[in-house]
Amino acid sequence: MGDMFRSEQMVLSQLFIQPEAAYFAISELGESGIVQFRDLNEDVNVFQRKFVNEVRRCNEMERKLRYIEAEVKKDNVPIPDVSELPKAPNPREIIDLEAHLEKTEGDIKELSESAINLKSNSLELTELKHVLEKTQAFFNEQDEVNGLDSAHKALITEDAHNISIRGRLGFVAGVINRERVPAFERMLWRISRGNVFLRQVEIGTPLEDPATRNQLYKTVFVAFFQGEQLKTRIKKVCAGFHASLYACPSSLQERNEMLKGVCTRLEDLNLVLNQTQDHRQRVLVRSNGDVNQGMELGEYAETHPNSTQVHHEGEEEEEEPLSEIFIHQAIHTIEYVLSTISHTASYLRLWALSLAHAQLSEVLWTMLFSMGLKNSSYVGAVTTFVFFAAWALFTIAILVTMEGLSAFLHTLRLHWVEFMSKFYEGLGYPFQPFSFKALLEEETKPEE
Amino acid sequence: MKGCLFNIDSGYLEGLCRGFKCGILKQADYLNLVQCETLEDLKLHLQGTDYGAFLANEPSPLAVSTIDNKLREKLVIEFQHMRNQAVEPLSTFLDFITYSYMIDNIILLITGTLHQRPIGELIPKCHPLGSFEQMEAIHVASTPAELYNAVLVDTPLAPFFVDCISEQDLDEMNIEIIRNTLYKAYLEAFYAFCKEIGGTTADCMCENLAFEADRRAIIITINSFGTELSKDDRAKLYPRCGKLNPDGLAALVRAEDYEQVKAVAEYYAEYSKLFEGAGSNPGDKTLEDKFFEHEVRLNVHAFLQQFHFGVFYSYLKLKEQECRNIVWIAECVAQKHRAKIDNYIPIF
Repeated sequence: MGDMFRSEQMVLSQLFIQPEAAYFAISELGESGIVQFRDLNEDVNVFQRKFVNEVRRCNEMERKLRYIEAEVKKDNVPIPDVSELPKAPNPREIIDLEAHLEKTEGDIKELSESAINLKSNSLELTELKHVLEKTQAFFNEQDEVNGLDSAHKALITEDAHNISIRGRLGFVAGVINRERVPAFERMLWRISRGNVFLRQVEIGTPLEDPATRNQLYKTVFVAFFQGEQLKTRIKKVCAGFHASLYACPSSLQERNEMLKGVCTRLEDLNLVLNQTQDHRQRVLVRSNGDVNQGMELGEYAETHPNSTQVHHEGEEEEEEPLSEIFIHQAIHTIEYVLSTISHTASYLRLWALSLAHAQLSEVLWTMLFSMGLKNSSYVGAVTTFVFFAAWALFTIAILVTMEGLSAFLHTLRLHWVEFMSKFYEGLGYPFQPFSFKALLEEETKPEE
Repeated sequence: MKGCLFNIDSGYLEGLCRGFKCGILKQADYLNLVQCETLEDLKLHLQGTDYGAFLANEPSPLAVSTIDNKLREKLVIEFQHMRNQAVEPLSTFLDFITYSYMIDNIILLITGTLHQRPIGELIPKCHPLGSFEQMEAIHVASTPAELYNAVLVDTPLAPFFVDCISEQDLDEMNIEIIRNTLYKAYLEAFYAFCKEIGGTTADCMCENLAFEADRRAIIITINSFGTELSKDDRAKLYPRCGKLNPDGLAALVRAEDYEQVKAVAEYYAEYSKLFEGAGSNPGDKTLEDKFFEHEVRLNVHAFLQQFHFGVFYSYLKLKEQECRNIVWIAECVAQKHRAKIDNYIPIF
């Protein structure tokens, strides 16, 4: 039964390995997972240890793998779950893997960049389309105000007059993130001293940002103003708030033509985008296999800098002079005898507790309850009732709760201090074997 | 503010701050860092500290600017976490700390615009803790009046700008004066706020802010020798919340060279010690270094007391000093110029 509380039998051993064989030896040990390594070179800096270059190469490869894994996850390409872990690669395979990884990383980077470019173009065209569609209402209003709508058109015949009216108000049209609209509006109002007129309408569907893939809600705005100097300042403010400006023609006919052109361009662009996405998927699926195998590489980085340590226990013996041994043993004996006596005497506290308990109950009985029982008949009934309440309250508070806690505390202390100090040390640390399986599980766990 | 009530609102954050403070690099770490031969070694060593794998996703070869940005990014994340969890009055206190970065950002952007740099090139150089919504549109302003009316009036810096409004165009001289006037108003407002909080926070923070005020007064004086800044203008830039106020400041106004400044400092025990051993002789530390050392000492002392807000301010300042140290060592390592590699300011 006592075996349940004891630790496993362990053996401390030292391995001397030839550098050429080091790699294979450690990979075997990692597969089996029964050895924990101890760091002998604790004082040495990390970057002055023997295998530091290999560690650096592994770190570089790990970084590339993480990048590839992130891209694979972004596109929701499923990484096939390998039930059986592949064996650790040998040194020649690692060099091949390194070159392969570099090429894959370069490919994926290029593909990502071109995808982002295409997406930005698509986003611009989509925004332009929204601008052309939604600003229709604003320009209609302006035309009404200027008396140029269909109802009035026939009545005004002077062309020069038309042109001068239309040229009265300049405008810039563009798209801005919805959250920035209030501050944007306020700043436009301030820099123009109230001479800028802003109309806005929200775009219902969110648009995808090419770089971060976040869904953003945007608003189409048109800012009407008078004068050219104001235009440069408005443009500066737009640039500051990351609003994209689009050249929107002021006449209805031009706008419709532009809208048609934009729609066709958008369709073409979507086609190209889809093809690029397919190609990217294919590249990512191919690199999946490497991801699994390469994860194991990380573990080599940790073991290489360490050299393992072992020395057989009991082989170190120093010569001690005989008198010293006697003195040490004498001191040890005196300490042991004294502590035995004092610890045993410590158990007398249990007697003290029981005495205290007895006296307290005696006090509560004579001072409280008996007083209540002194009277008889109806008066006695009432006093008994009252005194019982008080007696019960004090009994529960003091004798049950407080004394109960006290008894529990003292017995626990006797157990932990007076009993366990005879043999129990409480030293020891959990065994963490160097095992590839355990390390891989640890890496995949936080991602879930 | 009684200690027993402090933990209700700010106990978690103070505990977190002290935990972060324990991760600040010790002397042993610095001794290891100065032994590095390349930036890769530096990166490997920093992996074993509280910084962890913060450079793990950077492609080699590393550059010192990358290291600088990543160090700052980590500090910003920590500070913003604390700011997000804070309630009054700690939230206002932390906001006050960010105003100094806002001032730096504004001045950086205006100076850059003056030199015709595109705004896109300047924005990444701004400190993330000091960014505000209208920051990127700051180049519409060409005079201080416009700057106030268009941009600053909606920010928390508006009350500090009241003394700077003028119709003159922004040029080199004016920008420096604006920076110092803004900072003076900010420092005095911060000092008043801490005094109002009272208790240990006031004791600790007012000590720090008074030193900051005096340090700025001395540096402004020394830097103004040989420039067009008149003595009256100079007097307007001195923050009034330090120990030098009013006699020391009056004496500084009259000072005309370094020796006279040193004579003024003789009257104040802590400052006279800083001037000893400082100078441009080889083997001397510069006056700025001495000021940094004194500041580090004050900030370390802040952690000796509990239940006050000074720990947040001190933690930020100490982390910044650590970033400066690491970048200094990284530069020396990258340029293989190891003569002055030990000139960092030790913290613990």
